[in-house]
Amino acid sequence: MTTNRIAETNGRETRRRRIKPGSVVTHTILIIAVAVFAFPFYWLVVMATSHTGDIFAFPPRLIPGAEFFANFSKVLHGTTFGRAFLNSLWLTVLTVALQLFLSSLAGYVFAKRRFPGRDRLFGILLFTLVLPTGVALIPTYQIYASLGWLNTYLPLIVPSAVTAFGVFWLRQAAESGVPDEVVQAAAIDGAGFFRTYWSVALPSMRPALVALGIFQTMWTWNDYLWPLLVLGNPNQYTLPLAIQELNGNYGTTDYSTVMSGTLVATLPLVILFLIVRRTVFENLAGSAVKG
Amino acid sequence: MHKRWKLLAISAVAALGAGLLAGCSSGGSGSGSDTISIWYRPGSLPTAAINGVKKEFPDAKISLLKTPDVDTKLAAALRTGQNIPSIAVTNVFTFSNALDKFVDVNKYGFKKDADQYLPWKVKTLQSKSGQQVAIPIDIGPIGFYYRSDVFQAAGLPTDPADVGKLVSTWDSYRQTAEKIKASSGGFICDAADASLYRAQRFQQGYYYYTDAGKVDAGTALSKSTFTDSIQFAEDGLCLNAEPYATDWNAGVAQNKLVGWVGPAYQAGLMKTAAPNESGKWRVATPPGGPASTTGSSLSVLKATPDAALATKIAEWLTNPTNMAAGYAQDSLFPSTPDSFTSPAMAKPDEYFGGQVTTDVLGPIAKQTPYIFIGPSSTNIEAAFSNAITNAVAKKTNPEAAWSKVLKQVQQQYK
Repeated sequence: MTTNRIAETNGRETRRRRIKPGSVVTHTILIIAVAVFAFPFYWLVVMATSHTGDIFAFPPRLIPGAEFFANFSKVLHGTTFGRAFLNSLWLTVLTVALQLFLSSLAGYVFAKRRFPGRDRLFGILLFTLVLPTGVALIPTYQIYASLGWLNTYLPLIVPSAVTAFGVFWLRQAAESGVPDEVVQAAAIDGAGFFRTYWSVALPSMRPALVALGIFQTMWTWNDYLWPLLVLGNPNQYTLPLAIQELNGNYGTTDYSTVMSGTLVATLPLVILFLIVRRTVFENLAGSAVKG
Repeated sequence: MHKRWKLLAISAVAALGAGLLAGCSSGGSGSGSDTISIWYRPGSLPTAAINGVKKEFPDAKISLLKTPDVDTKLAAALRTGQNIPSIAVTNVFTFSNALDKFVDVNKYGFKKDADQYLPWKVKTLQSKSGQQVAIPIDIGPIGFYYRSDVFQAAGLPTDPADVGKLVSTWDSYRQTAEKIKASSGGFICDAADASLYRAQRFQQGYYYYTDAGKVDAGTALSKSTFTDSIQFAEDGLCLNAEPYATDWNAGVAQNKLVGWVGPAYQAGLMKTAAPNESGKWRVATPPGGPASTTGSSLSVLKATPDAALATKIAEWLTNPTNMAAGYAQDSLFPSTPDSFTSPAMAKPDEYFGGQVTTDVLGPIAKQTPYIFIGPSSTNIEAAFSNAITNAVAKKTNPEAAWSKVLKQVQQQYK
């Protein structure tokens, strides 16, 4: 709230005063930076809505065209895109829900409950974070093969249900965000363990939960290698696999088609980010002050 | 008071349960003990064959899995010994340490059908000990693709037979490249490694190995093809754009790339990148003699429940009829010469101004020399190709680039 008011006052001041050369320079740099970062996404939109031939013409087409539906129908025709979209959607929602619930529970316990061996356990958990994922790939595959879980979604759900990173992240959030006094006060008021977790701890961890939720959404939504290895039926495919299918045998790629699929696949992440933008910024500002 | 918590717990459990159920119920493709499972890359097998295989073998339980990156998936399966398919479209030579997991299809009836396929291609798919570890799918006969209108404007012949004679040697190709550049500013070489280096090596049947299967990257031929290619590009005669890169497509669309030497399947790139130039392109025999890229193949794995049946299915997928359909529908150039006379392949191609491209590419496919593919062939090729691209970009002296990369390659691959 205070930051908003400061921003408003600043705005009023600049309007009253003459424009400073310094702020012109700052804004020019910022605008260039925004253009540099936003251009690839804009170019994606242009490519997705044009003929492949138009994109490679000179001068290249710089404004979005009207071919999006023609391109996208090729995507629907060439792959199980619709099915893959739904698969990615429910898989992402499920893994995010499980991850947030189980990791926050574990993180809260590690931060606020005392039990023998707690710190050592947490140390072991942290150690698993430093292991590179590539090393674990084949052994993990072996485990799921032995369990008979290959060609099912289980290898995609179970390992993401609670991760070392999630627990670590939310333990830090609980440690700094949940005051001991409030936990004790809740206990005095007669709240049990879960009640305290649900009504006291969780709301205080909200920014961290949102951030972890976004991470997990991105990981599940964009993951390619692991689903490639464990899924065994085009009807099970997630979006990255379906889009990869659009690339031809020897690399022959119809860029407009691939880009229109990519655009649709990116939209949910963009929309999600727009929705939770405020919380993310609050969280960023918060951690900046704390750090 | 505890209602909300209970609700949460119930919904979490329900979500988990639903996940498990969904996971289990949709795991339909699991290879049961008697299922012949086939893994293939998108576009690697004729669509007609994929659609028809279950009808052709009604008694067999066949499961088809179209998946990107078959090699990665197969590597994981072979390493753990689980979930191995019966048939896979894969680069079998990357698995040279695991060839004992591949079926010698000659033992299961391939031998009597082998003469359906081009002999050189069949032979490239044999292991050092002579086992047939894969069955041919397609190949990439290398042609000289050129814009007839640009040739005409330069006062050069335009008919494919005449152009083939005009560029019959790499020296006359260079002279033509100079003339075209002077008259139109365009290039008839896309990149040194793509247009020159690869074709020159394959024409001599050289893929960095001796016929006894030893790496031999430092031969005189290896050196001259490498340095000549760099020199050609450093003299400003190539566009320096790699096929499948966007600037290659742009070069075609903007009339900067008016010719290139490369495998037949690359022609499809032009058709999507420059649909407006339809009718202007032609294909002629390449400089220096016939050659082909080795193309794809499919292998039967020993984990299959029925090696004889799997071999039979693999052969059917690539028989001349299916391969001809694959040419028409999927731009796969057949390794089965009987397909060359099929209606689809004997048909004039509009994009090539009504030329029957098979008339040029078919004989090239047949006359291609045998190439021994070693386990590191493609890796060494990538190392040399990258060195060529880097040298051209930095205008390095070809000799210096050669001694540098040769040292690296010889250290890495023995």
